[in-house]
This record gives sequence, structure tokens and C-alpha cells, in this order.
Amino acid sequence: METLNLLLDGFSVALSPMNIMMALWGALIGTLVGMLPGLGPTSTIAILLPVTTVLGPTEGIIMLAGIYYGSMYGGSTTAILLNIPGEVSAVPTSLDGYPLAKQGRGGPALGIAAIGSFVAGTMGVIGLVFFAPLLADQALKFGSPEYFALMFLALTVIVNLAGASLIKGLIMGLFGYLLSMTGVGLTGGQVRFSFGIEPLQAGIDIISVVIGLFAISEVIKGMEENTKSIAVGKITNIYPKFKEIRENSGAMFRGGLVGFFLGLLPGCSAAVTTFLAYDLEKKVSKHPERFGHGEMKGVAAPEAANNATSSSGFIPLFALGIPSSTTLAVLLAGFMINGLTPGPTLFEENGEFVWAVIASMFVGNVMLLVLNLPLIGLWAKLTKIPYGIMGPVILILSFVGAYSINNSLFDVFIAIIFGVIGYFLNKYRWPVVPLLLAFVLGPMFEKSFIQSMAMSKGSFAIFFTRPISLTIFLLAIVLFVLSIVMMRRTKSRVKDAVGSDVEITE
Amino acid sequence: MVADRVGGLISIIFGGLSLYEAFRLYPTRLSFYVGDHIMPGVIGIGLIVLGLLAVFVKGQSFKVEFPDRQMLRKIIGIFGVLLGYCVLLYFLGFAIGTFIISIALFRIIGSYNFRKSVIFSAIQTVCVYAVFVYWLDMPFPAGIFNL
Repeated sequence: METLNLLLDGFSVALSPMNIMMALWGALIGTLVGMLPGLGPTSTIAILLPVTTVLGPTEGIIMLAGIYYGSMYGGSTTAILLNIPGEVSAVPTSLDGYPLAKQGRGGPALGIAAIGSFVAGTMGVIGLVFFAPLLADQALKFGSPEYFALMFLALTVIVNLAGASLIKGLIMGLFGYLLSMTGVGLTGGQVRFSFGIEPLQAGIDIISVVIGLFAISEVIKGMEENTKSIAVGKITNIYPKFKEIRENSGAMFRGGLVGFFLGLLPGCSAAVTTFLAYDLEKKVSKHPERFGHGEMKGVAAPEAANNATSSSGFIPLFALGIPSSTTLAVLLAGFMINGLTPGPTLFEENGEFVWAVIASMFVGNVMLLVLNLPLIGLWAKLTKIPYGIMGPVILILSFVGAYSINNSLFDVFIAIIFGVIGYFLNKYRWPVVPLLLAFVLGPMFEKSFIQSMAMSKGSFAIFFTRPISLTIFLLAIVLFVLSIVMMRRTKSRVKDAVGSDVEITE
Repeated sequence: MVADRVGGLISIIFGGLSLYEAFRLYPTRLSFYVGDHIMPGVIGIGLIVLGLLAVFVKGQSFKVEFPDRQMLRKIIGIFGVLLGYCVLLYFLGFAIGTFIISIALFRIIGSYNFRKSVIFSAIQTVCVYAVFVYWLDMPFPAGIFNL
């Protein structure tokens, strides 16, 4: 009951005109970047992060969260209409979505995708309302050893996102950690890794690194690949029949459940959950032979799983401070920029903020459903913007975003350097996601380790003699094995679907 | 693959730097495991070990394709333009700097003629200025023209 009261308080904040506008902007920008080539939610959030310091934490994070879940909606459009899944997680949607589009049922497929996304997104936020405070409440009992175990668990994600080479993934993770150590040390206040360069004494800002690795290098990549604008053609009759919605409601619900519960596990990305939801739907179907040839349930289930995963990812983020995906890692940086520390104390110390953000997700999901279906024609037109225009716009926004972090040209310089590094890393297949995750989690990892060592006077037994800490370590091992199995399975499914090896880095 | 070996060597160099920092900070420690030196030490060892593995373990072999000369010039040009933006922003201010740099970017990325590039650039500058300076009140250098 108390949770519901807090949620209602959250609605009173989320429904203020400014916050409604921010949720709307976030949802619309998210949908757009989900559809457009060359700019994903991670780089968009990074570019716009400095803006949140001007807007205020609640308004800013509401907008950024809107971009995150809005992009999940946007990704389905090109997957269904053009057979171009922008992310690996959209591949299952295209398996049946594109055949449906070829049969002239692209409009209803988009409608079902939007409704499925709404249903599962809302399910996910309901889960977030009840699970996150419970988890945060339990996590209040955590001491430094438990936090260290938790960081260890979170970092096992790196192994999964290492791409084709584990060695390369681990090196990138360690390199990210090394970058995060630049600046003043956490224990003794000693300056590290500055080598006499004054601006480095304040440390390297993660936003500059993300803008360089994800936005600038992406523009160069797009330019090199001669990215063309995409024309999705005229779309008519986007509203599915009520009978179709009813027939697909089970698929939406099952997809939502798969996405939600598996999305809670670190390393279990939307790429994994969407394929699992698709395969589950095929298994329970009376007509599995229809899958791959234009079965509406093959669109409803993965789209639902995708959005439920994005919502459930907020649970470990809010309650434990653990990002389960790259985009959430950047969002975590956004919390920190605004002086907020995600974790068990977030609900106690910044209750009004966190409940307002959660309430805004309900508002944003409704907005996406109400606005996106009628606006599909407009989105289709926007995808025709040539890359020759998109590229300069992204670069100028990246520059402004990097500069605005500290009003410093040094941050811009760092972004440009990482743009160059990102270009070569991409060419030689060195994964950048482990770098980012280790950069974000590094300081928490170090702090909890040093505090634990200080508590135990240098004995490592502290990690294995405390029940919660030991349980988390065991859980980390189980999840590590489980996630490797699931990732292998997903890679093999992706290969079956697209005909070649694709690195899953989300 | 040669590139992986080069990556491994770079990892060893960074590992060495990290170990150097660990040794430098070691005297400031509170205990062996408590201090600013411990993680640089751990990361340093990790980077060196993994770097050695990258050098000696045979990795996945694949062909890296670089763009043709013209595209390569464009890519280098973009990075040059972005660095130039840093200078222009400081001396000419946000509005004029953005306008000039946008023209260059539209020319390089979109291959638009000068007239079109100026028009697109003017629109982009007005939009960016309206959002970031007027609406969000973000401070940018005004340059010698105080714009």
C-alpha cells in the first residue's frame, strides 16, 4: 500500500507540464533514433546528458529514460518494413515482420508491435514498482564485501559482451578500468595517471569517452559505409483489428514475462530475451510452421520481450546501481552527473525523484502508443533524411555535448581522440562495451574492495564467510555459466537468421 | 593476426604504466591491500598477462578493409575540422565557429555544393544556438566578436 502511495506521489510530479513535456520529448527522440541509422540510444543519451544538468535531475532523467524505452519502439519499424533490424534484438521481429510487410500487412504488424511493446513495457514498469523497492530494502543490509561481490557479478557481463575474442574483451575491460582510475585516488587522495598533465588530474569524463566511441566513430563508420537514407514507403491501415489484438495477447504476455524475468539477469540482453521469446512462442504455437512466413505472434512476442527487458533493467539500476546494458551504463553516469547515487539508498534519499521517474515511464509508454501509431507516416518521412545532413548534425551535437560537460575544450579533445580510437577498435574488432562497463563500475569496485580489506585487515576470507556475499559470488558463477550458454545459443540463432556471424554487443 | 599482436603490445605498455603508478603510490598506502596503489597494480598485472596472451595466442583471422584514398582524406578531414572547431570556438565564439565548421562538415560528409552547405549550416547554427544558448542558457565562448 505504501508503494502505491509513493507511486501516486510520483505521478503528481511526473504529470507536471514540464515533466510531461520531457517524457514526450524523450519518447519522440527515442523513437526517431531507434529508426535512424547512425545514431543509437547510447550515443544520443551521452550527447544529451550534459543538458540534464541545466534541466534538473528529475526532468533530465525522465527525458533520457524516455529516449531509452522510446528507441525500443522505433527499432521495430525498419525491421518490419525493410528487413533492416538496427539492433540484434530486432532480428526476431524482422523474421515474421518483413514477410508480413511483403503480404501488405506491414501496418497491422507495426500496430501489433506497438501494442505489444506498450503491454510489456507497462508490465515491466509494474514489476519495477514492486520489485525495485523490495530489492533496495534487502540491499540496505549490504556492506562493502557484499557490494564487492555484486560488482564482481556485474562485471561478469563483460565476458558475455567480449565479442569473438575473450582476451580482447578482457583487455578492453581492464583498459576501461584504468581510464576510470585517472584523477584523484579513492583512498589516499593521491593523483593517479595524470603524468603531469593538469586537466587529467580531474579525471577523464565518461561522457566524452562515450561520445567519442559511440557517436563520432559511428558517423565516420556511416560515412565510410556510405549509409543511405531509408525510404519506407507509404504505410496505410496501421490499426490492427481487435480480433488480431486478442489472438496475440497471449504472445505479448509470454514475451513480456520472458523479457522481464531474464532481463533482470546481468548479461542477459534484449538480444537474448527476444530470441528466447520468439522460440518459446514457436514452441507453444499450434502452427509452428507459420513462423518465418508472416506469423503475427512472431512479431508480438519478441517486441514485448524487448520492451520488458528494457524496463526490468531499471530494477538492478535503481536498487543496486548495476547497469545491465550499455545504454543503462550511460544513464547511470547521468545519475552521477546530477549528484544521485543509484543503489539501495536512492529510494530513501531521493524517493520523490525515483518515483517520479518510474511514474513517468507509465506516462511515456502511453504517449508512445497514442502518438506513435498515428505518427508512423511522419517517422517514415524522417527516415528519408540523407546521411549527408545527419552526419554533420550528429557531429555538431556531439561537440556541443562534450563541451557542455564541464564547459571545457579538454573534454571535446578527449571525445575526438576516442572517436579516432573507436574507429580503429571497430576496424580490428576490439569490443568497446566492456571498456564502458568497466569504466562505470570501476570506482565502485575499487571502493568496495578497499573498504572490505580495511574491515578484514587484509583477509580475503571476508568475502566467503558472510552469507550474502558468498551467495552473490556463487550466483555470479551460476549466472556466468548460464549467460555463456544463452549467449552461444543466441549467436547460433542469429547466424541462422541472418546467415553470418554477428557480434552481440548490447 | 598482426593487429591483435600490436594490440597485445599496447596492452603490455599500458600494463607497464599502471604498474609504474602502483609502485609510485605504494609508499602512500595504509596497508598492503588498502591504498591508491592496489588497483593500478592489479590492473597492470592483468593488462600485461592478457597482452602477452594476445601476442602469443593465435586469434581469429579476418580481413580488415580500409576505405579508398578519397574517403580516407575525408575522414582525416573530419577529425581536422573538429580540432579546428576547438580553435574557432575559442577565438570566434560559438555562433560564428559553428556556422563555419558546419559548412565544412556538410561539404565533406554530404558533398553538397557551397551554396547548399551555407544554407544547411545557417539553419543548423540557428537551431543549435536557439536550443543550447537561448533555451538552455548554456555558457559558450563568445569570441572576439562577443557573439
